[in-house]
Amino acid sequence: MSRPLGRVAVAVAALAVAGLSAAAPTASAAPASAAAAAPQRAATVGVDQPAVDLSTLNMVPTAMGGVLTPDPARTQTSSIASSVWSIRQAGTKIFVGGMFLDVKADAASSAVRQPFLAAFDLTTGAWDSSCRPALDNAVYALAVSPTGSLLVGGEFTTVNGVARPGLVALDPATCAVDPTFPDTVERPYSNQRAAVRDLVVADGKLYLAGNFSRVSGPNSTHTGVFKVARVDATTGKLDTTFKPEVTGSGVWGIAVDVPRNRVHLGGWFSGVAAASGTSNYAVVDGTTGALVTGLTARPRNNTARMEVYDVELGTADRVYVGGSEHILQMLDAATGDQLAFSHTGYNGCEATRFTWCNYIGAGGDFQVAERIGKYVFGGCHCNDDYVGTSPTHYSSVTRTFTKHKHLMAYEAGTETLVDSFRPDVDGAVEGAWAVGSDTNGCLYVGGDYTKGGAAAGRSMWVSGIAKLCPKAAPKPAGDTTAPTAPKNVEAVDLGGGVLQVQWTDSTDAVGVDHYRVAVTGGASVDAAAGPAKVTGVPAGSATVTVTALDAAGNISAGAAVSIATGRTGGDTASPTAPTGLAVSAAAGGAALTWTPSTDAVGVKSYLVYRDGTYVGWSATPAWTDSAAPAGTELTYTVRATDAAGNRSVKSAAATVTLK
Amino acid sequence: MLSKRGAVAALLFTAIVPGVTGCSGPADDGTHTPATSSATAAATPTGPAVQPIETATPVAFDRDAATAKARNEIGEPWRLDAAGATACARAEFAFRSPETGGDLAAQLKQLRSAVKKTKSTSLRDAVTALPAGAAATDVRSVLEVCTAMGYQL
Repeated sequence: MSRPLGRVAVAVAALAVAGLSAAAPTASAAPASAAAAAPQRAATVGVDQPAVDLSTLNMVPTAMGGVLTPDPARTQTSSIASSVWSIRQAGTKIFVGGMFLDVKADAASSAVRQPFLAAFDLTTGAWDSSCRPALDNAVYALAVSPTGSLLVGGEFTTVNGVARPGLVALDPATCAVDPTFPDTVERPYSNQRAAVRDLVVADGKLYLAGNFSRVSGPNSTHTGVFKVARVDATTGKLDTTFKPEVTGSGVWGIAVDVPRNRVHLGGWFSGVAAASGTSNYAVVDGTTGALVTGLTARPRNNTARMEVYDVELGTADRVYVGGSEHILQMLDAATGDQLAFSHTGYNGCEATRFTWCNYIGAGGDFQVAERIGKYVFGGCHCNDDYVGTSPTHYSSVTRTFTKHKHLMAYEAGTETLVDSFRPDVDGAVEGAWAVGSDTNGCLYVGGDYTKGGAAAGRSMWVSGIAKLCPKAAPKPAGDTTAPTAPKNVEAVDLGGGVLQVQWTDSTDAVGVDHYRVAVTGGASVDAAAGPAKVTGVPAGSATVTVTALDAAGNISAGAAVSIATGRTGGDTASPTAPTGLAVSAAAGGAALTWTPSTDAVGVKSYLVYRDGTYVGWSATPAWTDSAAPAGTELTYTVRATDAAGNRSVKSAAATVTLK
Repeated sequence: MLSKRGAVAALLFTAIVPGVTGCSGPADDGTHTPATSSATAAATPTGPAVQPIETATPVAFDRDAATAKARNEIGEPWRLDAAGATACARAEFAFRSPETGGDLAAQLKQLRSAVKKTKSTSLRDAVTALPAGAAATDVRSVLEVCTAMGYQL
């Protein structure tokens, strides 16, 4: 989930000695200023994920296969039902790791059992059925070794029938176990499985973090460690000089600050080196693993929930720390000072920053922070971009609330929110848990997503992982195959010379770039997706033709429909007000029902108001307000709308008090 | 080598480790009594086998509940105060000193000092019960109290 900082690095002393260490490290008191002034020299840093350009990225997902059927009960993290926990390109494949049991090619296909780790074709997004690693439990972390092997961390105990608890290297071409990388992890003092939660490759070293207490390395060595270790990323040889002493519970995020020779740790742990004030987040020395002291304590907004889910190095000496409660913090890597933060689901707290105030029943913890190119992506289980009239995402940089959810992008060196980045994917409860990218410039977001395209007026199948690609994605040379023709073209005369056109999407060997909607008489528009509106259509009759184009310029056959045009009058009559509104306390919140309205053309939907504020809508005469607060009388009203946008007057009010 | 390792793993993964008993009786600090039933050994297919101390069970919980309390990563309530967590860390360092190269005597001294500040009487009692010149294995009884209060090994 996290990676090393910077292009210029201090070489980390790596006196790797197999076997038991001579002595446990003692706490270091290296002052922040001294560490920051450490000499720097050129070195090789870890394998970055490919950069993406958000200015050209299409927010509507590109079709790809998916993963589904998360099985959290099999794991130690039964409260989190995210299918996807890590995404990484290795070779010509995109690997997806997580808690899922099945894969699917598309909505219409049958699920195929391929638990915990699956590969998808880099270009087509199709599931690669030739690569079927067999693991017996969840995958939480993926990385790529200097030699190109896929490094896999998780809660599994066997891989392809071989005992490989917690850690394994695979050949990305065949998905066979790489026998040259022997390391695994153990947890002999617990009845729980050893688990690797994060992997980072930096300067030829592999940093592993999780909940384990031994590393089994080459030549049958079994070395005691405390939830974090560093090994040679190629040979697996353990660096016994680096021994952070993390205790209490697991480490979930690790970030390597190569220039300062420091390692940042985040998680659920109670402390490092038994030092006070080191729970959940701490910084250790890059050579010995001893605690770095003298840093500013990380601010917190809650006295009970303080766990950190991920840590990431940005640029310009920034450290991003994501976790409870609903906060992504941007800290100065040298001093620990807080530079900025984002939070979700609060309102009115910006002046006091970290105070538990005005929780508005939305938002969620930041559970992934990933730097890709010049951006850091922060993902959370913040599933609503607004509640009532209140946007849910707050940035301390701009001091503004904005409508963002699931996944946000920040300029890595300034913490500035990229406001235009709003992936058109949805249906998640657990939100975003993984972010990846590929060498085609595409971005991947993983979690428990189920749909996409709603903002563009489309209904797209998405399952666990969504792929966002550049609007004019580079295509392989020699693409001469045209997309298939669109189907089921429908057109509606909206009046005033405007037609609304929709269709069933085409398919293409490489990918459909856009659609062209042409109307007899000259009007024509290009659209990334349907439905599309065509204006300036003359009265009388018209033939509407839709074609699909790919980026190589290949054009499909057209699909056409004829329609009478020239409608001048519109539906100006409002629906009748809903009657019989009733509200009651239910397990999921406040349950509302009412008697349907009538309309000259047809009722489209009902809008629901709580205490005068719009809180949701329903296409049917029933709705449940799952965000309704308890302990106070709530007054609800409902109004009806039709397709032309006419609204009824509000219904009579109904009240309820939830316990 | 791989096939040999796999064979050893298969044997160890089918082994049943006898249950261990944590703190017993009504705890004065809200600690729970861990199950004493058998636990299946896990994740030690290659290293020296030891009897697990922590016998925890993952717990599903609502992370967004407004009244949510501190928990460990598998959802068990975290019942240690800061001083207790420090004492448990010292206990772990002492117990594992034979394999990590730690200074047992120094860690025991730090353990006895740290535990004075915790409000957990069961933890204090466990440390007090340690004999003078305790061996690393003696500290197991302290870690049993720690893991019953959410501390993970």
